[in-house]
Amino acid sequence: MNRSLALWGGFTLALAFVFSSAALADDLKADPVHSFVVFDVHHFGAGYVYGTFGGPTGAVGYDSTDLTKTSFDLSVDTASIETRNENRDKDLKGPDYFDVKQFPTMTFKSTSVTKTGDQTMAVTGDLTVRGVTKSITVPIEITGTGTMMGKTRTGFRADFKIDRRDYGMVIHPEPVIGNDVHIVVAIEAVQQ
Amino acid sequence: MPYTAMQMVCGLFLPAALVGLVAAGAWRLFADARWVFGPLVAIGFGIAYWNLEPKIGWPPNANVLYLLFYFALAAGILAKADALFRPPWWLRIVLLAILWRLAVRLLLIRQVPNLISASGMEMWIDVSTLVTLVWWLVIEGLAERAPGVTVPILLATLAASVAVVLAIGWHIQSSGALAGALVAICVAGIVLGAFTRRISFSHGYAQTVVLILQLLLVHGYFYTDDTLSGTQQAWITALLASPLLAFLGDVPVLRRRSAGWRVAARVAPVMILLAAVCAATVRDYLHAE
Repeated sequence: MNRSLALWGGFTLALAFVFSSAALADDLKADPVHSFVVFDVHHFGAGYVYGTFGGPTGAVGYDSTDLTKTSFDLSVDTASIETRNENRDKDLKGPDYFDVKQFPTMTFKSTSVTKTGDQTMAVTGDLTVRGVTKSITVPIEITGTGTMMGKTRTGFRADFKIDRRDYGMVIHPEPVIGNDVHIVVAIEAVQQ
Repeated sequence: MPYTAMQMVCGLFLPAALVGLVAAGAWRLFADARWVFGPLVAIGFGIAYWNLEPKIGWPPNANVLYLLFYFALAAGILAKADALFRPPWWLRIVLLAILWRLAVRLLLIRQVPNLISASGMEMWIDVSTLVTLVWWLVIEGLAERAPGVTVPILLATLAASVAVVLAIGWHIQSSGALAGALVAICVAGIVLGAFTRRISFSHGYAQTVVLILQLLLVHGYFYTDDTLSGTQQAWITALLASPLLAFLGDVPVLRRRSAGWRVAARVAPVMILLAAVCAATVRDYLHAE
């Protein structure tokens, strides 16, 4: 009897611990209107071509007291790519690049977070583009917290590079289009 | 330039050289070496795919691009069986239709129900099967009764037009380059046909090229980001109907003319129509710039 009680007590305590630590992380939702994905890539080894995607959507689990509990589960609509040239945008949306009809979204789902400073962290996660999933580590900075219409908003900014060939985008090899794509993801996430 | 010089050499010239040299050797050794063409064209296309579109994986339906590669191999095997066993016409049509319908189903199933309904997919499978069978019947029939350069010239012209439509009209340069590899393979066929009159392109060569070209077109049509205008739809219809113009070479007036006249009468009308399709495609592209 005592043993059974102790087991139940231990189980209850464990559950309480799990839920209390989960409760510490705020559930935020990325605001696509105030979030941006911007990229640039070298063109013929000369200038840079810049482009954007529509703001990412998804969830951010944010714990200001323990950044290692922060999590990201974000999705970007690949058909929202824009580089201010109609023909280039069609190329980018077609099967040579993002193949948007076959792969309408690209996603990032964090798997672990390491604190690297008061407002910075290294987030490791699975980036899926064109159906290819690779684990990458992205430095993310917390850019600030503010309140709009009674809801707290927190800003996150990631600045990193990927090799487009890792995701099957092999056409137009260097120097025509650089292999490294520099990406900036700026998210404004709203408390729910 | 979308490709490196090495990719161009290995993706365009190597397949053509392989088809040309191996087929020339086979026709020198055997009285009838039609069985060599199906696998050769498929392997040549596979080499081109490997160099121009190095995205390959398993299973074939994980990415519809993979289907292009695996379908070419299946088409090559079917063509070899066709050359070895010489089945009757009805069985050839049935086998070809089965392979084609399976490939198009795998290609389109990912679009259901987002871009196309299940019934819409069935309709497109039926329509594309009909078009492919018409192409095959016209060109295979021509290969039976008109040995020599007629069929490879016709196929090279069709492949070149498909390359222009895919790369420039529909913004899929990789597929355009793959159609370009088929042009190179067809040029090898023209050289073979010009030097060795007894070479026949039926039971293998024509069938494999037609099937691959058609699947490139279907893939491009459904996976381009372009919303095709009414004019573009009309031009692609003209492209699909163009092989029928080859029948002009069979009009009674030309029966007493020389072989060269008949080749010109079969090929020239198709070339003129396809030149118009390409010109319209390039004009639309430049207009969008």
